[in-house]
Amino acid sequence: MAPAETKSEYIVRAKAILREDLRAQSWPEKVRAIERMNAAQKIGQKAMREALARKNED
Amino acid sequence: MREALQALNALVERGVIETYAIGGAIGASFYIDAVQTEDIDAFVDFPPSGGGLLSLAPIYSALTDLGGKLEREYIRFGEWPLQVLPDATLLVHLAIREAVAVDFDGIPTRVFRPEHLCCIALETDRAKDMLRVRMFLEQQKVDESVLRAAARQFGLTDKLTRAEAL
Repeated sequence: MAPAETKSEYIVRAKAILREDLRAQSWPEKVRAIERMNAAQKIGQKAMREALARKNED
Repeated sequence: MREALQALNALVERGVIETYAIGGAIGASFYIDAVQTEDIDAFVDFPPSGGGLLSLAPIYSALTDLGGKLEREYIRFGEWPLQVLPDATLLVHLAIREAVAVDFDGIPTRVFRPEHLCCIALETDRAKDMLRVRMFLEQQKVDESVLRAAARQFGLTDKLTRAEAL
């Protein structure tokens, strides 16, 4: 974060950099990014199922 | 994804299909930002058959012989379920024929042209499809005049106007 930058300005700048990174990726890199998104989604779904199961047990 | 593409290429070499092209979100990701998807859509061109009936069974059988695992309507290769879709409409037929030869990690493959990806998305017309068209326009990855002409040809002008207004 730059010294004169507010937190929201920093977030806007970081998102823009991330967006540019995504656009600069090659096709295989983008596909690997999708694979990571899918893996993260599966972890999230598993955690949700486990949390629901625990809630039902209580 | 490499295994799925290698299997599709093997289908062409063995004459099971004439050719194929990648569409859907994976095809779109060749041009625009990556968007989450859980499968690979491969559109295939069948060799003409005597019976006149279209069956995906020989393709699924050949894909399982090549190491794919059958999961409902998909064949899984590694992390990726592959969905094989026939050239059911003139638009899809044309999209397969005019697909672009590309390379994925050294594996030759074919991807739909941007205007065909957009027209098929307009035809499918779910929220995520309309958003994909919007992304092509916003990221300037489709020639708008070519897209407009293709949309006119396939009766999709109203849907294109809707996507543009998103």
